[in-house]
Amino acid sequence: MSSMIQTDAPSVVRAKKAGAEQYNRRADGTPRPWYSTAIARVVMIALSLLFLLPLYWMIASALKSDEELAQFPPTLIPQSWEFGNFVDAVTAMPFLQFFANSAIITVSVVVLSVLSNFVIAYGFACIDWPGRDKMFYVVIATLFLPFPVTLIPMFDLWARLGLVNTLFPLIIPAAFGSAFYVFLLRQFMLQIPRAMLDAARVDGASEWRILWTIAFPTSLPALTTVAIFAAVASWNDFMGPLIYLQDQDVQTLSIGLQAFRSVNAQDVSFNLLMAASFLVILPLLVLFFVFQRYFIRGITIGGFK
Amino acid sequence: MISRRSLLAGGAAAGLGLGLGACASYPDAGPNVIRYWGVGAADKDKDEQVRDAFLETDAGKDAQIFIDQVPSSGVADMSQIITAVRGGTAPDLWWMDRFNAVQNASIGLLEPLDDLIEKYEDVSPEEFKSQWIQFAVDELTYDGKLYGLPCTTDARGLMYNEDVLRDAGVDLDLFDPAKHVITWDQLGDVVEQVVETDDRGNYTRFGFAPWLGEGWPYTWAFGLDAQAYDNDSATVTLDSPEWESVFQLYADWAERFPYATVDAFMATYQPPNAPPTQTAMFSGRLAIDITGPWQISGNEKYAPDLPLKFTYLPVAQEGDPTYTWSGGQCLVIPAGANITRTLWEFLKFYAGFQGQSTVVPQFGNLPTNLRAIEEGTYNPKAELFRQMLPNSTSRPPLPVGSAMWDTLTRARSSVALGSRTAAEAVADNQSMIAPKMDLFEGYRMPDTYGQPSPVPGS
Amino acid sequence: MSSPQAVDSRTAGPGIAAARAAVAAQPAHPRPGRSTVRRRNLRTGLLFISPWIVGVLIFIVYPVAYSIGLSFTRYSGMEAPTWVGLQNYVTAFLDPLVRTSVGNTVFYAVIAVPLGLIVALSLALAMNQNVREVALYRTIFYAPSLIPAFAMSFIFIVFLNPQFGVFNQVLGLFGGSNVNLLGDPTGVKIAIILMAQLGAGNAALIFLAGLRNVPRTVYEAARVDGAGPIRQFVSITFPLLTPVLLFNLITGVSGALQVFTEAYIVTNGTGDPDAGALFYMMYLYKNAFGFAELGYASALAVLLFLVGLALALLIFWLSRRFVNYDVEAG
Repeated sequence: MSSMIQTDAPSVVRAKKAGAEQYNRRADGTPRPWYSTAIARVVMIALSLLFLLPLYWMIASALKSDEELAQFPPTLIPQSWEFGNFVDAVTAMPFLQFFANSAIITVSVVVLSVLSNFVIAYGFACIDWPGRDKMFYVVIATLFLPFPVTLIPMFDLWARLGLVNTLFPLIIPAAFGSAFYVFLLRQFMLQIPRAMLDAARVDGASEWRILWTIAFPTSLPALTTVAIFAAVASWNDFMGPLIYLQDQDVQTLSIGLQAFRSVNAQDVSFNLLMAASFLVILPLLVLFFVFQRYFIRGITIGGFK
Repeated sequence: MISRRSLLAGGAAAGLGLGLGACASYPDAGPNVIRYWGVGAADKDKDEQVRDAFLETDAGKDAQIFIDQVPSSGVADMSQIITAVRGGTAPDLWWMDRFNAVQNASIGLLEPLDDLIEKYEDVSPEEFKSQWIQFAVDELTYDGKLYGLPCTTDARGLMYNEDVLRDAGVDLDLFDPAKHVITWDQLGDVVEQVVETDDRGNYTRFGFAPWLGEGWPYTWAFGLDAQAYDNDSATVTLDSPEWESVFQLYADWAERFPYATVDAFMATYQPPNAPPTQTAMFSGRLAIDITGPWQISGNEKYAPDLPLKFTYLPVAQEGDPTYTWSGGQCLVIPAGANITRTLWEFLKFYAGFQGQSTVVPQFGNLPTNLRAIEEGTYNPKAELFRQMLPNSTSRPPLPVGSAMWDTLTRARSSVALGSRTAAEAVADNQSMIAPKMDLFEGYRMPDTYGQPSPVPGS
Repeated sequence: MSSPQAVDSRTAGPGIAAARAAVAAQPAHPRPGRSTVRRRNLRTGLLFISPWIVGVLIFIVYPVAYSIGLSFTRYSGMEAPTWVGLQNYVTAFLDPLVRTSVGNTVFYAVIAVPLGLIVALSLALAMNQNVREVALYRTIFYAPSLIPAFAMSFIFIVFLNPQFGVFNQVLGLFGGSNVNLLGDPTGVKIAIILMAQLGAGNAALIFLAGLRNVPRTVYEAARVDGAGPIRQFVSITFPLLTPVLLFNLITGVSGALQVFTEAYIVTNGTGDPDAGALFYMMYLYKNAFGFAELGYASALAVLLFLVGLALALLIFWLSRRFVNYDVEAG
């Protein structure tokens, strides 16, 4: 027997009423024995140590002084904490300008990506039209297009439009959807029950209304994923800014990181490079931490059965 | 919850921000406007010094010079400049590595300078070019025309740690450049003396290997008289017996001092992309490396107490002449640039005595301007390398330079690893490059290429 | 039967209650409609995907046509192309470096794709644990994916140090001796595969979204039927994850066939030792922008595209058997 709406199991309801936590429960709502949770925690902590390693090394190197970098074998914990390295890293390039440019590009790309891919995926998933699945093969096909062959023709196009050395070539393509995100959203939106959509249609709702009232809430986890991916890809993009952004007023942080390479290879300031890299990914870390909770929110509201 | 409203609001804000901040202004072209892609963000102060000095001169007083630091993703990666020239957004002046000049010229990326010399200078092109060292000018010459003015240069030699050698009981006079030029055989014996291993067979101290540092195939080729291209027959000669002996050198050394063990040693004490402070030389583990004058500033900064000295590259027989090769940077004018008298004057200034005497000492390498060499405007510690310049040469100025470098380097690693013999390697190199040169039938490198370059005061 | 907290009041309507009652009887796939409905749907459908169509024409069709055209020429990127017919394709089949790069790429794909899926799924399960501090774990697991490739390569090389690197310390615990991965043509591929696993956060997030999409009621029903956690995973979770599994599989294959950035940075653009890390895409890029052989590079690109496409279509077609889209149909 399946209940029609997402309700919590009786035990969970009782627990909630009692104000107790809903944690440490299995997927089916049964409480989890303590040893199972403990083992899970141990595994998680071990995995965390592994995945924290690159970040740790980055921060540790960023804090080291030049002399300490020379030490061999490299020290695990920095002996002196040179917070000045972060200041040096920021002053070595026009950090604020680059930050602003990166931010403008990333925010625009995220908004455009989420909106356009959502609409497009709806067309591929929730509306039945002849030839739809054949057309979708084209979407898949475009995933395999090697990027170097697009470099020159695309640059020619933007140059002819006079938009080189502006932020537009890095933003506008996001408005036209991307095979990756369309594919992703489609996989999720295909799981929306047909009957629900049809019922709304019978009620006289337009597709646009259905898009926002039914599809949007249930696709929230997937849309959050698209937003995160688009943000990270855009923020860390190097190839695009390299080719399209020549003037310092429009360059981005990923180009700024290159400031630590010199003609004289002796002068790669490793600690400054790591400090700058950390500052560059810090906003992403914070944003991710804040937005990942929408995975949870999505399911509470979007349950439909 | 992300509501539709906040999404659209975000979109509007982004749109606004976009409109406000999206554009950079291109300076309008004018008789005194110069757009310049400089040395790199880490060295932009040097560009600015030269610019400021130029603005003080008569020729430069009205100039407006816009300096951009545009990074490249690698020396052999032309994606940026190709797209820029095609799109008409290339700068008027560009600082680049000399190595790619001929290849870039051959595909039409650069403007030839001979007409400009005739237009703006009173002297003949030959006389004008004679201000710079010959091999650097040759490296910028394609099809008889000059495509850039040379700026900096360097040379290659051995760097050795006196303490390590003394500790191993090696006679230091073998290495003293004033007294002796070491031979390959002697070098091999020295390494035997220096090597120390631990119980597992790993090297804890090592001497030298010809594939480390600047030990490229070209480095040894010039000493073993291996030519890449024959002007008279207009053919690629990468499979000559001399080239085979170059790779045999690697193979023999790898047999005597196993490549895998040496590689593990280097990976331990000098991992790739390590901070410049972490080298096998600085930690006293490696006795001898192959490097150039750029190393000097690193030595002073990171290992001021180590007795690191420089000497000539090893020769085949006792008494053979010394040899080396030089790379370096130059200034070029990309195709489609706004060519004005002011641009020409700035180019001349930067690549000439004034510019070189300002930046070269800060870079720590050597000038190409003969007057700058004569007047010693470079780090005095690099004197030995300056002595090498007259007998130095550049890599062959061929339009397939990149591919050639690529295949030679790969051959080095496969021969040292033992997956190919020297004979197989040179045959593969030839078959990879010869078809590419077929496009340039009858190509001739400058006649002066490969000959010694006269330097006043040598 | 409804409880106020779960019903979205904006969708309430008489039709819905009736439809929900009949949910179990509805087939999961689309019913054929009458021709006017079909035509209207066609128009609406095309309208919805119109941005994508425009994008494909500008950003895909135009560059693809351009490179197909270029693949029959010899072109430096600058001056006029010269027609050479099929010569580029012939050269590609004879070029030993093409063979090497294909071998490297296949090696990489065959190992990295399945491994990546397993790692990503495990990570997603870890990210889905119902513990209070899960937000912290999620961020930590995802963090390495945020590090730009340029900086990551510096860091990862330290980990691979034969004596002091973490990798060798761990190997030592299992009795292995010091290994220099980056000095060996096979080892360097393994190093890049390992580096890619640290970036499994992306695929894991997608699996996580898929995991969260499974309604709890299905699990509760299973529990009532007596299924334990493992049985639930095998019979419920995994089958319902197949849509995202398909996605991660296809994008994994596409990414593996185009592996480039990490290898380029770690080997400084050479692909050495001994072309061990010379992947197909890297060789393609070098030809395009290092050797000024854009025509040849275009031919290589066309070949890559065709192979990748064939693979994807194959996977997609096979997926009809095992991918389960509608939650109710299980």
